[in-house]
Amino acid sequence: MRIVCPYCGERGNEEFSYLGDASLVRPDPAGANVTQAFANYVYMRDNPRGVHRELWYHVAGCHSWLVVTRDTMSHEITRVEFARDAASVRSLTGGGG
Amino acid sequence: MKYSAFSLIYETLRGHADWKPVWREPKPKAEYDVIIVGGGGHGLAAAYYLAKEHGLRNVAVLEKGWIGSGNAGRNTTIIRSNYLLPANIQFYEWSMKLWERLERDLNYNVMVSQRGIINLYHSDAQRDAFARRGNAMRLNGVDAELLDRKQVRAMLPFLDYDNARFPIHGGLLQRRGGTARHDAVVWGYARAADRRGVDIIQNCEVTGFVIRNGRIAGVETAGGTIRAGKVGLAVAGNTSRLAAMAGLRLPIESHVIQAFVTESIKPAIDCVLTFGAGHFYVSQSDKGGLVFGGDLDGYNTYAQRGNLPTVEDIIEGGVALWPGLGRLRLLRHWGGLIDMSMDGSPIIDRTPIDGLYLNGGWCYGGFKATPASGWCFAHMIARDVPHALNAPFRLDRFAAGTVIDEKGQGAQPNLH
Amino acid sequence: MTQQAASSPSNTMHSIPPHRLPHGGLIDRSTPLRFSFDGHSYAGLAGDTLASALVANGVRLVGRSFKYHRPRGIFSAGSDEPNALVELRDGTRREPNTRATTVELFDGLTAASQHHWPSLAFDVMAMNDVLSPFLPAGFYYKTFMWPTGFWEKVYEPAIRRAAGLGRAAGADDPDEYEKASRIATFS
Repeated sequence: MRIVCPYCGERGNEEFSYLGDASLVRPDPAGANVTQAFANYVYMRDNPRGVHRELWYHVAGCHSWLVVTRDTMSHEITRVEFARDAASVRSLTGGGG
Repeated sequence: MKYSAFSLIYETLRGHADWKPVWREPKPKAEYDVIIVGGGGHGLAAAYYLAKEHGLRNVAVLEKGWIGSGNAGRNTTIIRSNYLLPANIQFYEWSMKLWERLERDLNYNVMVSQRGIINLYHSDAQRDAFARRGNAMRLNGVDAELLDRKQVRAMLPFLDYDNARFPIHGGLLQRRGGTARHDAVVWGYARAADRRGVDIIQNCEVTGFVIRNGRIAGVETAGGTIRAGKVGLAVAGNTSRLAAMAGLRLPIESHVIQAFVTESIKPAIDCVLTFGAGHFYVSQSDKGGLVFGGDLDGYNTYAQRGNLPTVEDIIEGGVALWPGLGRLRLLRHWGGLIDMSMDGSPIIDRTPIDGLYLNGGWCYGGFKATPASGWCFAHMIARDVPHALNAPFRLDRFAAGTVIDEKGQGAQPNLH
Repeated sequence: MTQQAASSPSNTMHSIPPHRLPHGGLIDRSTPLRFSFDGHSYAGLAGDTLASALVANGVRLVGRSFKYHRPRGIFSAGSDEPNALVELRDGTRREPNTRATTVELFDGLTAASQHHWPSLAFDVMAMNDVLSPFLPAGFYYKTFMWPTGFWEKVYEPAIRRAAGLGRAAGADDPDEYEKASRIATFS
């Protein structure tokens, strides 16, 4: 599996470490139902068979956090972006990943 | 017909004309008391114990492919109960006790071989951690021995003891651990369940659930709807997908773990061996191939295949431990679709939907659990309450904080 | 009658192999090589595979089948060879299950046939072939269950010794290797 890091170019997946689902939104600690919200955030996952937006860290390269859009069945990667760019798009569009 | 040397000889003399099919291939009925979704080891074992222990025979096992085509046919056949946490020790030890009588219970040679499993340690700190685990096992009545370097060398002289980076200091041995023939486990449970009236329906994928007023009423399949009073899910890496059909989200990520077998060679290793300085474990099948495996690839996948960097890592671990491996040829290599849970421990519980039961989150350790998992799941389904052995494996333990985290890695599935 | 080059030392070991063609092929008839198979010395030529050199010397029996120990010869000319599996070299560099058809012959090569007892020509385990009607596919799932405990103590050890083809060296590989990686685009 090859990931095209925006800084470093195309690299093998072994240069990266994997965190998981990038669509999770950390709940507001002052919000309602905070215990249940945090339990869902920390533990519950969609785990889709198909398109998955996920966080990878370029540990053997530029140390960027990347949001990779990848199909969990074919492993085809259709998009790679810096996590900070994905996050600012999310805050502009107001919430959910 | 009972399997035995006599029946084998008798049938030979009759030209093998009278063998009965090992299991029937019935068409599904319109309704069952219990439907088990998933025809792997756990699902078939659950159906068998439903019939044997609880007298429930109006049971069907629905399998989307052929039985045993999932992880039951892809594992590295290791059985053991050498865990640290009491909930795990007691559960897997019950499984060991069921393994020890399984061929008699099923009248099928599942080739249980209690040849011993050794976990090597490579530092004083690791020795102390393994001693702690061994003591936890002994406190729960399970056999464990701490071996020093000399004792390990007497059993396994061909390992690299003086490896500059990872010298072998000793090992934790469970003599009663070992292997069992995985395909035979599937076929043995299938035959025994079928003989008790369970319908095994292959090529029957569940595509949805019928739920009325928060209660399960049946399943939808390509061939139509089948009504059921109770439904149990035992679908390993497909657990999230099936649960989503019932509107449930779970603390599970689906991953791949790869496994390998070499070409057949004469007996080279008589026990199960795990490397302590990397994730690598190996044993030798009765056919002669070395069966080995190691780490997960580490990313969400449903592909049942992994990538080359992991292959290289695993084999590097093997050759560091046992340099003689380098001259052997790899025959076959494959991947399994595993349901990694958020604490590395399984889930055997009800769900928020009445009559729908969940058996999943087995990570890469489901094979050794097969008998106890089926046994507990049958209890859960038949009586609607958990047995003491699976009571800790609740679905709500994550929110409640009573996680069972053997490796102490926290809520990161790919680290368990 | 075919003749080797006059300077060939192979005349001193065996008579000229009767199966060599006088011309053609990819071998170099001016460069003889010596090798040993199952303890016997033979002559080969540069460019031979171990298999072609054995055929040139009239050696037809090179192995035994996995289950029934039926006599096996050289079946193919390449990497798809299912039968001519030999132990290449001896000692710490021994490689089991090596296809004789893919080994380029070198001077001093030693190889041995596998999976027979006491010898390749007279293999007691060929009794399995006589008993084959009693040993259909999967027969071991239907038996070996009685008496209790005999599976592990008696049946399994015997089956494990009967199974497997070649023998691993059991010792450290003394050689060192370079590693090179070419990344395949493979998801």
